[in-house]
Amino acid sequence: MTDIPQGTLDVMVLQCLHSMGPLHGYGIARRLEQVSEDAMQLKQGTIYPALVRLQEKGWIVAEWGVSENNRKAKFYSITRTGRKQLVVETTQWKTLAATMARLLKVTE
Amino acid sequence: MMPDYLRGLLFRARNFFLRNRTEHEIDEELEFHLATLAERHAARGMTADEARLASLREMGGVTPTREAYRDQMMFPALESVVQDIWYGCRALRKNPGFTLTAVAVLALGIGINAGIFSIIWTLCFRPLPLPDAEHLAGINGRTVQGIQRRILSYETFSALAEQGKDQVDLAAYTPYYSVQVGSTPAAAPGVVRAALVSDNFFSMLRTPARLGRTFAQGRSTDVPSVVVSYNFWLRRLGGEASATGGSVRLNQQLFTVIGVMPPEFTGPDVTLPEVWIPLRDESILQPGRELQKNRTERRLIVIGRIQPNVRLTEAQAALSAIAGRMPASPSDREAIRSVVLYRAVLFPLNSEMKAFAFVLMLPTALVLLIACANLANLLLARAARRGKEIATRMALGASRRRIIQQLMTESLLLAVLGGSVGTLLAIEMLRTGSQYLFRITGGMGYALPVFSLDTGVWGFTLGVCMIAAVVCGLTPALYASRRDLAAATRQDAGATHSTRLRNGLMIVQVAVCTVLLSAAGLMIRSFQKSMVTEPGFATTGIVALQFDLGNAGFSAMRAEAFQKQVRSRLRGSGHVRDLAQADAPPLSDRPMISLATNGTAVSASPFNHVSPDFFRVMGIPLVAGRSFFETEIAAKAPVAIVSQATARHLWPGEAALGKSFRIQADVNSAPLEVVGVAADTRSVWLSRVDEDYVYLPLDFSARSQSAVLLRLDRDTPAVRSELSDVMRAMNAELPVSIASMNDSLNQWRLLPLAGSAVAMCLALAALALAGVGMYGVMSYLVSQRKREFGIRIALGASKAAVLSMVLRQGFRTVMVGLALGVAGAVALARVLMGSFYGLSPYDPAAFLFVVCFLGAAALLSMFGPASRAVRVDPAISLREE
Repeated sequence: MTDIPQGTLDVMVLQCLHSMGPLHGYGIARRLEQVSEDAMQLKQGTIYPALVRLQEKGWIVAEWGVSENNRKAKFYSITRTGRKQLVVETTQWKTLAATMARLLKVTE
Repeated sequence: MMPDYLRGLLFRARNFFLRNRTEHEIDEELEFHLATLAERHAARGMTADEARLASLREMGGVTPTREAYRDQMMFPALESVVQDIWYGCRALRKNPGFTLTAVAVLALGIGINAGIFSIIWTLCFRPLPLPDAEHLAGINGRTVQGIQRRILSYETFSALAEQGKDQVDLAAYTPYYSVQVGSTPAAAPGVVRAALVSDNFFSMLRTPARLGRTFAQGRSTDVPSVVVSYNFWLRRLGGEASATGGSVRLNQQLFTVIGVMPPEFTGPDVTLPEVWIPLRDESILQPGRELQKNRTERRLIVIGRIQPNVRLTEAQAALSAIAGRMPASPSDREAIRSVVLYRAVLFPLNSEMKAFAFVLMLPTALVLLIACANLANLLLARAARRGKEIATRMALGASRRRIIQQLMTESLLLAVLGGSVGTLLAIEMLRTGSQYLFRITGGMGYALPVFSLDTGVWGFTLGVCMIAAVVCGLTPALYASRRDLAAATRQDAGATHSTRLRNGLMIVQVAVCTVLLSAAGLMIRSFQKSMVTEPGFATTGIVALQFDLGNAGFSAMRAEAFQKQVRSRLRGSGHVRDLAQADAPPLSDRPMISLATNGTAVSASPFNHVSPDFFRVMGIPLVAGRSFFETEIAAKAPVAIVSQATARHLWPGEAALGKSFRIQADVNSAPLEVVGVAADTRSVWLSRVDEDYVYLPLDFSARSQSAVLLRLDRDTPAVRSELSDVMRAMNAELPVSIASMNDSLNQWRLLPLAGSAVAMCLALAALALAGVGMYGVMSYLVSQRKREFGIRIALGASKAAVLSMVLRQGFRTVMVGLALGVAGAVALARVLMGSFYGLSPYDPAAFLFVVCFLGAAALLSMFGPASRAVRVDPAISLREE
């Protein structure tokens, strides 16, 4: 298990909302846990400051709604600028990952 | 697109303003999260409690999550500041004694300083309220001996103006002039203050007329012209726009009014002229008086506008070189050899006034110093008392930074409170002071500016106090937050080093207070002395009637006849015991003449033309020779009487009788023979014996100022008004002033009186501050030693013994302060000796009084806390630890 590097959480949340549609905080946390298959340690509370950061930047918006278990919950969804940003971040990550992979292979 | 930081700010601001809703939503959202987690765990078969605990673990705790969430949503730093301010307010309110004292201390310090320095700044340092004033410079001449003279001769002015015009555009004026105004349709005749000015005066000051125009250079019209003040225009010309181009009678001569100045224009001076007349027209006002002819007579004030791209120092060097090239006899002590340029201000400080300003500024600054020392003491003592509170907060997890930030906030809060009250105090003081000064000086023909709080001065004073508060607040904060927590919670403060600091501050306060009280004491003594010092001439029962026949348009013959009539009518009035005549009574402003013996040693001296009876009436003894004879007066004989001091200057070690000297201004006249030597008097400055004084025989046909000096049987207002009636019966149009010598003497005593009053006020403020300071320090020191006292008393010491020990130790500190203060006061008095009348640094009575008074005050302020400390039951004070 490893900690989540700074800044990665934001991209993960964006990607999550992009592929799954509107989700509440719990839903996002669950989804991240499932995807990472417990490879990463995530205190679920830490996603909330990340959600605020993304709202401040205007990449996601929040809206109150009713959850599947019939409770009042805040649902987050990705905005158009959020999608654009996701494309940018995804490209960056791919480039970085490819570079890292090459670099590590060479040094091996 | 909105920039990211702005969007973020708006987002947080919205959350902050709706913070109740925001917090509620946060709670709700987190609650949903927890509940859903718990549901899932319960579905797997956990009990409700287990499920809840597991959810909390998975979340990472509710409180930290909420805090992180909240911090991200709003402004955590701002909130802690707001919190600190609230906490500070509560702490200050909880301790009203401390708060009030500290605020009062600060307010007094800031108020007095901002007020007094604003006045001095406005008068003596602020650029003139004229266009482009930063390029205006006042010009002082410097004599061979290095003495600065503000009043210069026409010769000097014209040389500087002509040869130095590439550096400075020079103008000259003389504000000490008055003219008689004939009746106008709007007003009766009267005397107004006038200024004679060079043609370029207004253009150099860059002030256009409000109506009409000002003087043009190289005027060629035959009719003399005058520019009048707004006030003159309103009162005497009826405020008609058609007034310009009209004429007005000045000293019986017709002048054309060519312009009216705007109401706010008062010229470059504190004197307030009502009319401005070109210098060259003086001969029209007073036939025979002509500056251009009388070139060496010193009457002009010179002011200039430095040309663009020329620096003040360059201009000064250029003008000095011109002055140095001017021909002058090597023995002329009064010859101007160089000049000094200074930024033009309303009231340039000459050496006389510098001392006065210094007397005002020094104690003011000292009061600020005391206030700061006091504040430091109060904050130190308070921080020490709060050691326990601080330690508790730190033990509960407050960071050191947080504690320091909080203590600083409190100090700043105090500074802001004190500053606001002080500012109000200063504004109020300036407003009242302005009105009062305006009332008394308006009648004297002076135009004082309206004093208002100067932003620079205010900022500086406030800054000093803020810094003092912050520094003083910081020291205990650092100290308190560094302490061993365990020891501090037991309130076991072994604060020896801060005790030393506090004692030092107390010594400073006592010393400064001693200086101020001593200064006040010495000034009061000086005032007392000035009340009993004999001026060297008689004053009781002496009344001076003054009029100006020249201005009233009398011919020489008429003047002589009129004065003869005046003398006989006054003698016949039944009140007059004796009578003499002179140009002016003693203690009036007199022009200077240069004295020369055999063309060598030259001395500048004030002079007075007097009648033979002058010495008898004024009670001035002649130590050698005789007074003038009536025949000498009639024949205009070349004789003179000199004062003892002048005799010593002109002929050191020799008898003056029979010697002769010349008045340098008229080289062609016969040398004057000394027929008598008069005792020295204080006719120029009441504060000192005249350095020189020359009496010349009165010429009754001279049409200038005249004073008739009367010795009355009884000097009452009724008698004086009767004498005025006698004068009016002879000539209703002639303005006559009547004043008793005692009154003019008392005017001269106003300066030391004002000095003592100001010094007294400042000293009382200092005393109050120092008293508070000593009380505070004593309370603190005693409270620190409660346990020790308890042990002493438990071991059998009597309460009286402990009390006297405490007082003895406290008094030792006070004694050091007193000794330092007395030394400082003696030094100060030595500096001021020259300017204040009979001010002597060696006045044991004054010092003894101050020391006893302050000592008693110190004992009194220490006694309260000390006796309170020993009254406590030792069992209680021992258990308290």
